[in-house]
Amino acid sequence: MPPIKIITLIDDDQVYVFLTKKMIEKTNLVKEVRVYENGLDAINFIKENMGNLDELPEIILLDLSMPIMDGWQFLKEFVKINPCIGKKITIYIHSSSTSLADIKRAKEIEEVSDYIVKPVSKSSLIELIKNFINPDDPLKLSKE
Amino acid sequence: MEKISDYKYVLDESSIIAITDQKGIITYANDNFCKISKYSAEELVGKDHRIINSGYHSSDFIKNLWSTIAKGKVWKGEIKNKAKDGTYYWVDTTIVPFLNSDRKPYQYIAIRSDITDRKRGEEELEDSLKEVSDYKYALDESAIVAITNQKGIITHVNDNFCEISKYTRSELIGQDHRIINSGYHSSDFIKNLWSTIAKGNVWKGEIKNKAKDGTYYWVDTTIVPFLNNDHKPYQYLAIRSDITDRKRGEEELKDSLKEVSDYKYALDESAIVAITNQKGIITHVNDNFCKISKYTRSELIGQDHRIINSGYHSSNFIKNLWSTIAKGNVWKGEIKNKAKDGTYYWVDTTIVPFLNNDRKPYQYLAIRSDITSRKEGEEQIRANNLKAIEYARILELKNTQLMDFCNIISHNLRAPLVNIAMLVDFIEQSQEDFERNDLLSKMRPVVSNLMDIFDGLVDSIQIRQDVEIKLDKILVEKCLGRVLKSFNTQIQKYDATIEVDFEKVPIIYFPTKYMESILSNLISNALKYKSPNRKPLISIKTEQKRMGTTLLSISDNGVGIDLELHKDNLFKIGKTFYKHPNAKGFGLFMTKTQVEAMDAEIWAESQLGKGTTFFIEFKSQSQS
Repeated sequence: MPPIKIITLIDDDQVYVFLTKKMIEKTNLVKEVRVYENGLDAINFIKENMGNLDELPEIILLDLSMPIMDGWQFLKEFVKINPCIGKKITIYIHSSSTSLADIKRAKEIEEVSDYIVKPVSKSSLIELIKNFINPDDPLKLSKE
Repeated sequence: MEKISDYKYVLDESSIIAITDQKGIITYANDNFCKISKYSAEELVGKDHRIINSGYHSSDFIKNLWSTIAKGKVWKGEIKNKAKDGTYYWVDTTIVPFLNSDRKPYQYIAIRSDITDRKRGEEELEDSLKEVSDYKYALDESAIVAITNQKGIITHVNDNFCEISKYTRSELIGQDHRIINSGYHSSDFIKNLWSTIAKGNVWKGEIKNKAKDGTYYWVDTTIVPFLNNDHKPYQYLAIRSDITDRKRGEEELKDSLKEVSDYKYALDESAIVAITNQKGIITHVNDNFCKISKYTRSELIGQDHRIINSGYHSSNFIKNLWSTIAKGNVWKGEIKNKAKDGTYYWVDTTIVPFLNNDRKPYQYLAIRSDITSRKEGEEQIRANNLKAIEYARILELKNTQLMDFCNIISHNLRAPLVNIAMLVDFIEQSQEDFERNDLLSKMRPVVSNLMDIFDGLVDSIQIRQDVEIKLDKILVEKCLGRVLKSFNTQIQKYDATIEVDFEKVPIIYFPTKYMESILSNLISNALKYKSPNRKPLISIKTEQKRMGTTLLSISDNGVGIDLELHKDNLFKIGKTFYKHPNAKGFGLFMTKTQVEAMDAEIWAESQLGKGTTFFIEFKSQSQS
């Protein structure tokens, strides 16, 4: 039984999603990878399953640039409903943007644990997941 | 004896004869007596003489008469008698007593002659003498009176003269009139006075005199020369009235008039002054007004004040001015006027209404000062400020565009590059052919996406760089026609309706290339995001905006955009707002780039489920 049940990818880039999903599956640390093409689909699912803890992900990797509802708009909606969710969901922004303005904006949102610039390497991904399992690990990614 | 009867005859003919007895009873009256007394002889004879008594004379007078004649003496005197009809007549009367042997009068003969006319003249003279003395009294009471001889030596003064001059009568009589000379009047004035009266004419004027104690007093003076038979003045009567108080008032008035005229002078020297009547017709202008307006005085007087109207101020401004002054209030402000030669000048203006007794303005005084150079300075500063604001705006726009560009690089170019890098990694690590082929097949679309984005960016940079692109005169309807050709298939397939209205603004100055691209993008969007529930209706029109700009709008009845969600990103690259297979998110970005490159503006209004309208405001077309 993998230590993490669900990782959710919110990203419209099909190639990237395909590759990242493959990479996560190879770690054997995650039971299921779910994918939403935009923020709206993701937030709707969470809203519908607020009490259904088994269906909610432990980790979300959130892209910023998406159609319909982008990463920022998703976060705005998520912050509103977060207190009502019966489970801690760790959100990482995962974007190809290296813009300092984006990174700064992400750090100002409490619900965002970190900003990971694409591409993510397999080793970083494993570290990220391990860090989630053992939060006291000194290797925990710092916000600073 | 004959001689005596002749006398009697003559006497009867010429005189009024009556005879009475010693008791006064008339025994005889001649014709003349009857004629003057208007009684007949029968009515008179046997009557007491008192029948003709007028009651005019005192009882002493009558007593004296009787005692004289009773003593046998002749009495002479003038008697006023009353005729039968009540009129009076005067008679010069001689009464001769006829004595008996005892030397006692036994009858009286009264010989009278009619002196009514003379007496009437005397009475009138008396009356007028009375009147004269009344006048003299009144004059003495009311006026300051002096008489001098022809040399100016005072021969008479009344009490008022003494009172005002503070001299006693004895100090004045015999003195030259110059004793009260104040030295105030010019020698010409004095000379004129003397030459007037010396010629026998009356002189009137106001004279300042000096009293004994050195104080001055003013008198309104009339000098009347009294002429002798040779028509030469032998003395002068001077009648004066004290006008010291009035003169003092006049002098104060003169002082304040002087002050007022000094003010007026100062104002005329320093300010631009005009007076208009209550209708705005110019009635007075000073030299400064003529100088600044470049009109002559005669060109301005009688004209409406609008002759210098520059047309610069709003009608509200002018209305406010007039309503203020029409209410009798002072108006202050700065006005731009137009001179005769068409140049403009600015004046700081104060308009003061002059009110009549009904508190209504009957004329307006406008005092202005030239502030043209200050205003020009202000206008320069304002223009500079506007320029600075414009520069700042352009700079801000450039900065925003630069930020946008950084974001485009960061978001849109980096993403496909990341994909390529990852795909390469995966391919390298893959040991299985089928997996490797699968990965390779994913490479092609990423590369072509990268190419598209890259081309788009190059285009957009070109647009921004192409500041020299020239404006074309675009007939909007024609341009739209060309664009719509490429949508024919879709329009037919969807049974779409295109409404146009370019009546108001048929022509827009803009690069044709951009206009076609913009219309193409917006129509493409409108068709792409049509509502599944209804046939597409696209309405395209132009209209004139207030500041001379042209507004082009393209409305559809499609699915609409959630602007709440997308307002910040509407025109950004790679943004699509719908799950649509052909949504690449480049159209609006390019449209905005083209619009902004030409200093125009684009925005959208939308309601989900109802439709979207895009607006493009083209800058003022006048100078283009």
